[in-house]
Amino acid sequence: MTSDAASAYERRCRLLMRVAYPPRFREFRGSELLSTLMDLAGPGQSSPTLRDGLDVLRGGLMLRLRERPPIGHWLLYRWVGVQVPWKYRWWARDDIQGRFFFERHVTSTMFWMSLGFMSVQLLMSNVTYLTFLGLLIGYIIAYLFLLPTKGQLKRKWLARHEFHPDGTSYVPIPLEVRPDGRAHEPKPDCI
Amino acid sequence: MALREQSYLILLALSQGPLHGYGVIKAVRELSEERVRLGAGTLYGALDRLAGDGLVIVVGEEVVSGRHRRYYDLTGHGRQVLAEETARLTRLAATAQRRLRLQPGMGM
Repeated sequence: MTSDAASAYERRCRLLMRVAYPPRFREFRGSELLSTLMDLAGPGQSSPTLRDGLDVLRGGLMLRLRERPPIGHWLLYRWVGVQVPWKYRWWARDDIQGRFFFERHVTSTMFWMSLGFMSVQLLMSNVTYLTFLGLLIGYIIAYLFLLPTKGQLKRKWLARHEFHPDGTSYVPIPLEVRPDGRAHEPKPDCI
Repeated sequence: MALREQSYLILLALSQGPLHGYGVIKAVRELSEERVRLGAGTLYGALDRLAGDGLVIVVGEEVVSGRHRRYYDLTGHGRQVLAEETARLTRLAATAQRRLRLQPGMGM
């Protein structure tokens, strides 16, 4: 494999992995997966085969589905910020550190507020006045109102799942124990 | 516990000692006579599942010429499950051969 083709191949694999897998996977298993993809490359190959590409996308999707909290926990987490069960906390970390976390939070807060608003209106007058424009204005007001608490919100939610503000875990990652009894510590790969 | 063919082949690949990811892919291809070609995404999904069931375990890692290798091995339970599944398949194959022998023109 020429070095140009190899670096193009590597770049495309990294891009593919960024699309397919969540950060927690790339952090701990990324360089291992990348190495295996590099091993699969034929001479002079400059991008993964369609088959390998689809396989990685499928693998990432299955992992995301497998590691997603059940719907009940998800709703409680999203709407009221209840801590998800321990085994899903890395999912929560990626969610909190992910793009548009704050926007998702404001949207779910708005959802509650508009539900409350509508039920009050229904009780009082049998008619609801909540229009699209009203929702939009409400969203903008809530967004601006909550914006100063954005950093604090992320820190609070991370702490609730026992993560430092930079996303590292309070407790060290459990050692994988070798069959001969010696402990083996997986290292973050950082892709 | 009945294993999927893919899981069975991965366990069988690991039966002769620890292998890294690409080593497993190559061994599975050989064992299946080129029929099963695991992709990287499928492989790591399967290894995660098998590790979750306590059948395989990570036994070490190293970086060789810039490539990160993590080695997997069977656990005691994994070896036992592999042996049980092999015994089941042997019985199945024996039954199949007996049945085929009973049919005229299908002597084996």
